[in-house]
Amino acid sequence: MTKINTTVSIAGLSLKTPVMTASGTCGYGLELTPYLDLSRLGALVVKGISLEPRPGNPPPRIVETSGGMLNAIGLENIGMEAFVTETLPRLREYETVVIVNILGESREEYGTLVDQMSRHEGVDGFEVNVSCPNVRRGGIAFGSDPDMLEKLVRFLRERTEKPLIIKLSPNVTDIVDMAKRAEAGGADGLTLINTIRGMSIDSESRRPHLATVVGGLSGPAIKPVALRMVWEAAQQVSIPVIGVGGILGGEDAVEFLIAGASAVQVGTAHFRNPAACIEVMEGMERYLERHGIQDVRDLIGSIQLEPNRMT
Amino acid sequence: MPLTPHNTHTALIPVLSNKEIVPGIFRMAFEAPLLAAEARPGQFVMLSIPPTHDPLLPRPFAVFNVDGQHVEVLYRRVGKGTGLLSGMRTGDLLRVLGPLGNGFTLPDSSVTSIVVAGGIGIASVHFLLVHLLGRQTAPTTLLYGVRSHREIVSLHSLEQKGLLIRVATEDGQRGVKGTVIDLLSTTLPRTEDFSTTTVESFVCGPPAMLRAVAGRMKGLGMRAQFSMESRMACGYGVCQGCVIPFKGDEDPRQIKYRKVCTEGPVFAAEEIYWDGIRE
Repeated sequence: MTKINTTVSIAGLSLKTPVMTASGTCGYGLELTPYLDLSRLGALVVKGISLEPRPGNPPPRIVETSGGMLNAIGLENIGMEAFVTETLPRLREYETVVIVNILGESREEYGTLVDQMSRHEGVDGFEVNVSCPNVRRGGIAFGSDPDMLEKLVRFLRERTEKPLIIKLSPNVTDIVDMAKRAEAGGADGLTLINTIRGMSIDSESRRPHLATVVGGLSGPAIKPVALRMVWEAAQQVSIPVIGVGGILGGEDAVEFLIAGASAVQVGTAHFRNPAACIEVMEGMERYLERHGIQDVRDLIGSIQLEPNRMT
Repeated sequence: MPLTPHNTHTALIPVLSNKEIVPGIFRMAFEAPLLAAEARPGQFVMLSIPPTHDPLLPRPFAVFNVDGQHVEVLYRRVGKGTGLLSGMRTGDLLRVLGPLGNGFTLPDSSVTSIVVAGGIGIASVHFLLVHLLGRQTAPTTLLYGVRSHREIVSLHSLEQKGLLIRVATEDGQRGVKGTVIDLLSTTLPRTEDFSTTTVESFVCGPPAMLRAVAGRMKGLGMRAQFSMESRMACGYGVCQGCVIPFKGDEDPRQIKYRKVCTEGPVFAAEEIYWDGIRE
């Protein structure tokens, strides 16, 4: 039997597998090295980097909910300078595609991040976070206003040749419009979805579980929403869509590919098991074997719909 | 000490025993040779039950004891996770990640040790007591506070090795009626004894107790290592969910956050910003 092909091409990047890490769930990647070989990953998407270090939100920052969890970390990160001087050289020791998630409070901040980091060879691409629900300013405004989003993407497109992937927020009325606008601005790919805004209350004390009251919901609880949005967006844009939301095992990843995603990200599952990406990857490969599929790309968008369905 | 690449493991591990030693409190042992060889007092493990997605996240448990190749944890059955854990039987598989965290710094053998535990906080200091009793030439005293005498975990074998135990119960059925704060007031030597480096203290318990003990110890001029608890998702530094507030290095009013999982769980009491700790 010939070896199954798991290589996919995303936004000009060749990935040895469609399985990558989701930003914010694997730190800067180095934290995973005790548990897995980073070079096995399709890509490593590091925690969101801002121009200056950010302390993050006061605790409590997390709470588990049915089938998921809420977080309000507040984009705590070491800042660009520390990332490029301390972290990036260490990541370059691994043969893995490094995608840097970036976040800014203004168009100019995003622009500076892209300008500065495009110069570093270890940065293979950018994932632009326009969708974090946990900070008061910036980010989410770009992710919820279609005009602002398109302008931001256009602005960044002029600044870099490197792949630009836009991570979209599910907290919008029309995800397809946002996807189209990002594409129109010149994005090379889209990541769907970031967390869904939610909250949780302790009925005994009547206090919210999170210090910020509202946080972002992730985990299996959001998988149906993520699948639906990936499916809707992937049909309407010609750039690749990366699916993320509640992937715990190989079958979950396969479902996203079938819905139209060209790659997937594993997020909250890292908190259960640091080697979650490997589990997902191996589960996906077993699925391909079991179904006699020689090339993972044959799965992408292969959803079987009833001919006379009512939509 | 930071988490280093070679000293952590994740594996499916069989349960050896899981006994309810006092009502609602369980002592569980599992066979984990690598973990047993490397675990130090004050470190913890993340435990989850592999097939279930509910609960979704693992839970942190202090290393209670190490016996040969066996590692033990002590836990109170409080929610869904510990409820499922309490139902596990010999041979059932657990996912175990660890050892995690920095652990306590052990003092010179000539230093007198005072260990303060409130309630299930005993789980975090038991392994420390085992180590202290095995190496200290100076006495080790445990100040142990519980709500009811029915919650007292027997430490008979440690007493036989020379541990001095002072108990406080809120119901007054055993020891001093009151809390560990009362024990601190009544059983400790006088203030001037703490101005030297001859005493080291170690504390674990619920947040309200920790805050009160920290205040009391500050007044007495005592140095203390506090084992802190926090809600965690990952336990190994990636989720950044478990942070607690600290006073800034240059400006104590400038709050900074540190991760309980990889930068702790043991911290110097005076560095913690206690007003920011939720009870």
